[in-house]
Amino acid sequence: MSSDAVARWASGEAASTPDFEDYVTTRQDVLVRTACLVVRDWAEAQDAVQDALVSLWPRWHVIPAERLDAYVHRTVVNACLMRLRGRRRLSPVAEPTSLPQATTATDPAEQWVLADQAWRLCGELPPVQRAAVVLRFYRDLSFAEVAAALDCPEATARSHVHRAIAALRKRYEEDRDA
Amino acid sequence: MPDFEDAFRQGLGRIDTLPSPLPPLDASTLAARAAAAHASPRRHRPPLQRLLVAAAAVTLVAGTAAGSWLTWGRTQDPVPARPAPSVTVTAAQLDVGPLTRTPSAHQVLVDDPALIHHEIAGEGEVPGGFFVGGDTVTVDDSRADRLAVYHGGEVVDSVTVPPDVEFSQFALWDDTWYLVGETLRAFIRQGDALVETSPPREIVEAGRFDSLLVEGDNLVAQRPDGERFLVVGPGPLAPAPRLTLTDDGFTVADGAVDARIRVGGEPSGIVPLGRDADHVWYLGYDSQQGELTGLRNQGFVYEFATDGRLTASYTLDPRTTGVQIANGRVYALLVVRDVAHPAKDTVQVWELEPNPTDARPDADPADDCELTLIGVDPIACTQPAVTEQPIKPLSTDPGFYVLSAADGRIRCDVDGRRNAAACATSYDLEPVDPSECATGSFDQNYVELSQQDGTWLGGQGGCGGRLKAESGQPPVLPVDAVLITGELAVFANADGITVWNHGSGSGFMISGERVHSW
Repeated sequence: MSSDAVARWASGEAASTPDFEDYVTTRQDVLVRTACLVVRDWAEAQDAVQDALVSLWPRWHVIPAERLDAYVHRTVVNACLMRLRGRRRLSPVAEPTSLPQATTATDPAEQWVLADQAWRLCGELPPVQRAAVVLRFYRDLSFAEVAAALDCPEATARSHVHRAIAALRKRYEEDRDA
Repeated sequence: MPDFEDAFRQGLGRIDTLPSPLPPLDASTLAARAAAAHASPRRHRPPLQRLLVAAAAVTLVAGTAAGSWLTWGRTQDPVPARPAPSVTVTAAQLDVGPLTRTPSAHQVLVDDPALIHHEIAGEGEVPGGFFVGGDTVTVDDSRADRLAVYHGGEVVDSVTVPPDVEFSQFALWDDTWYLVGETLRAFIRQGDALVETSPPREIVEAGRFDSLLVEGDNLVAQRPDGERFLVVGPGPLAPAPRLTLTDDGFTVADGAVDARIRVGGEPSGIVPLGRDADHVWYLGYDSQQGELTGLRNQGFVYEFATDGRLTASYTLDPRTTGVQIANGRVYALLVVRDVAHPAKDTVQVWELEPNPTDARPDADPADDCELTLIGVDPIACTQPAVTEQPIKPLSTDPGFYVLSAADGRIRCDVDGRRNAAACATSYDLEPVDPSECATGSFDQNYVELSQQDGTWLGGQGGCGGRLKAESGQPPVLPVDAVLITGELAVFANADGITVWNHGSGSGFMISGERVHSW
């Protein structure tokens, strides 16, 4: 199956599971970026994605095509969380100093500051909450899909996201008032 | 003020504008790495989490070959790889319903934490295989590049494996050791070391193998494409069984057995375990999404007589990483993890008892048992009564309890396998400082509290862990009752609950509006 075929599969046009190598080629970029948002480190993110894909390889063709992304998301998230657990308390929160300014809306200055703060504060979230908001707000997954990726009920996924946003908002307001 | 969620989305989205500082993954290299990792787990072990029971080991002492054994690694692919959309059930086909998910009763033969090492980011690695022969159990001790022989639970002997030998399965046959990784290699023992000798020429020329089987008096090597070769023995080879993955289980047809096997979860694979003159064994495994336990992989061993009858069944513990049959008995290799205290991870070998014949094989207890916990007829649950415990565990995890106390104002998840507990409460308590929680790990001292009066938030748990206090009505831990699971003791009184971890000497208490941790 070619990369085009992966795209057809991803859009629902093709029902069969794409070949492993085609999937890796086509999806690795977004998977690594997703993982990077969770583990906050490019190298660890790529390692986590590799670990996840390697672990899925033996079952690749028995994973239902319609659930492939969910399986991959779940495995990548698990790989990320395991790496974070391995770090224990030693995890520094990398400051994305090279992040360029994103396109902004009504109030560019405030929006930029807020986005910058959001990025920084995201690194302070507990890993599962961080994974939840990354999947929800970066990958634009539904709560059901976030739940599948986190291997938890949908209500739990909603709770993770709700509480993460509440915590981020509170921290942002505290920083702003200070 | 701009919308916070939009800003947050923008903040995360900035990563798309950054070039990755790393070269992209090469898909073919990654595929090759995956193949190598799963073909040679001795050197490339996967992490312990969610190990699929994707392999088996079998020992059939076949009359004359006392001490003969064989073991599979856990990397054998299910057969076949792709599920069939449907299956036709013939009138003569034996219909085997889903087995109980409660692990079979067992006796622990080996319990040795030294078999796990923690070299990679706190992740334990696990033995690649084991065998039972006579009254000894031999386990691959990859930590020391040796095979360790246990008797009575103690190491009584060992043999050193050359460090350049990668293998996932091994067999001893007529004083020759056969180790299978990418290729089949043969060794004889000299002193406490293995010295390589030559396997049969046709085996060497046949290329890569991924499994060994004992079939009667024959030792058989099987290639990934399913082609089989006689390694040693009088022959002839039995025909390869025809195994099919269906939408609700498997079918088995081997000339003697013609069976449709249904499983309660999503069928994942089925592999032959071996045969002797009277019986043939197969391992099927599935995965099931539990509401409270997440995705769980579980294996089931089916023993058929050569006249096609199902004569015994076994339900593997989800922590099983290998299975072996010796003298008609089923043995399992397990990795028992303690997330809160990784140093307590251990490796065990169990001898399993067959499932009771009245184990209600048509019941699919997992969800029923979870429903039972929120008030559905408990008769629907096949979880055996635990008379010494005040409440029942989850059917899919005998060490995991969801409970309520203090007239429903406190809810806890108590996981005896991980020795971790998390409680949520509607009491208006002083929040516990989140900094007490080791980020990303379970911490039995951490009490995560609901901030919503009178209602329960989902997703309560220990600091990024998977413990959950879900909505619903879990069973009430009676006042003055003590629940003991793993190293945890949970005690309920009229207005609170105490969780104590005996192993770590720590715990927490919620009493009225007070919370305290030790």
